[in-house]
Amino acid sequence: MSVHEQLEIDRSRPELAGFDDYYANRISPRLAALASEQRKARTWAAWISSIGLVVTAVLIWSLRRHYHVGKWFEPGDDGRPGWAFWVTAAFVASWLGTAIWKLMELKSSVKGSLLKEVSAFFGFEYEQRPGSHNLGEFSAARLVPSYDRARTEDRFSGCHAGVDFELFECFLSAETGSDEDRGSKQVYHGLLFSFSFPKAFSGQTVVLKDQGRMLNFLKGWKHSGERIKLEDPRFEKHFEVWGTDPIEARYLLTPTFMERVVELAEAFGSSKLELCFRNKRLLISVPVVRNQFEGGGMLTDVRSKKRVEIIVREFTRLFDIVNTLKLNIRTVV
Amino acid sequence: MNPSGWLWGGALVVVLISVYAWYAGMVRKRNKALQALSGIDIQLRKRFDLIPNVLKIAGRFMEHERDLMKELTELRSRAMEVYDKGDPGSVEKHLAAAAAVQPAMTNIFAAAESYPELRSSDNMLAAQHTYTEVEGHLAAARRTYNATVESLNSSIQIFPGNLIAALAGIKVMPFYEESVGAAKLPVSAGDYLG
Repeated sequence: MSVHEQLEIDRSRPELAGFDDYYANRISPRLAALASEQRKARTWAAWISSIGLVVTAVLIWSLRRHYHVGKWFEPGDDGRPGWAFWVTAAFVASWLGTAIWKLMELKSSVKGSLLKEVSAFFGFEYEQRPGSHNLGEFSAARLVPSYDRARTEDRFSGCHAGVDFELFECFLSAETGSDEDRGSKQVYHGLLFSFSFPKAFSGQTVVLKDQGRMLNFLKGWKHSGERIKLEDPRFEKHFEVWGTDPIEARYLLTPTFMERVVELAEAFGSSKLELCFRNKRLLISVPVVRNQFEGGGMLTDVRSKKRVEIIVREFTRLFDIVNTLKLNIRTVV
Repeated sequence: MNPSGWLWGGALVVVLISVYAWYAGMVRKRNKALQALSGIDIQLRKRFDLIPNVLKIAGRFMEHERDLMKELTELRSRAMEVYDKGDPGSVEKHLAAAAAVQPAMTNIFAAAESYPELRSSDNMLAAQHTYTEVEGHLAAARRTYNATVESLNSSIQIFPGNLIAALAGIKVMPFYEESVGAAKLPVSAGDYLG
């Protein structure tokens, strides 16, 4: 790889040692192979769209010329276009839809290949459509709001620095309105992490984002156990803790661990980081705005190194959690 | 009754309700502190159960550390004496005795470092690991107890809590302080990282 083609990644990170070579030898050739598929798909989509438009135009022109169907297109008394207009629109949309479907199919394939390759570098396993069976623990811990429909994607699992983990992206939506005005709105979009934890515990301890007295109260009463006030004022400014056992909560949230959680929350900026110790695992919810692990669209060159750089950056969130919280070390104080 | 009579009557009811609420709050906080004290005793029990095992393992190798082991045995016996949870003086004495065990225990482990056979003994390593675990739980129990005591003592010492507490016989409780000896001991990373 020449200097100009170098990836823009944080080479000071030990996790990324050797990634440049891996990119040159594994990922880049794979992307080059996918690039020819992208060219074919784009050409095919362009042809389908063009043919669709031409066929539609010729059809309308000949119908109007020979059968005088112009009035079927004209607006009625209510000002809406005639039924022939809608038939034509549907016809054009079906041609364009076919072209877009082809590109989306390729996008999914490119994303899957890319994430599989990058995961393999870190020694992780990847599942593109994991199903929602992993969501139960987060839901039971109330780290995610109640929902009617759930969609999960991009599940990664494996071991980093001796810590077992699972990570996936989650979209939750809830129904709104009554029978006549029924709708749906997204109530949660975020990354959900589950880590093994080096300490044994039997109860549940939830660390929620501090949202002011009223919201804390409304959110807190849903959690099992009692409100536990901890000694660290910085931690208390960011979070509030609910737990089934105050001694166990303090055993898990040692002064040092609290400092690390605050450090992590500050590193993640305004995102509402929340945690729960439950069933021998540390569960973490990180709400996000932008869709994660997408690998870019199909209108840009599939070989663009930006795709890989973004995915690698998205992976660093996982490493930051493990490294900042030092999940591989059992802290006593 | 004239209007001023109603007014005085109403004010008296408000005062009585406030006094009762304060009193109930203090009783609740005292009960929480006593519950947290029981949490400390549970963890101390684990520590005390561990001591004879450590002494048994160490005794075979540490012939020259008899004084150290004798001191630990005495401190353990003193800390295990029955005490009155309702008497702050007795609680303070009990907690001070319990706190004194930690530096003695740390001294034993530090001395064991000078005996290569003991240092590499699986039993000793397991005991050290268990001790670290117990100390982690004890530290958590201590923080919980101190938090409840801080809340109780504040409600007793702030007016009108001092008057209500004096009438109800509710007394301030002692904090569980780390022993001075333990605070002065050199810090070893191994004690804090599992």
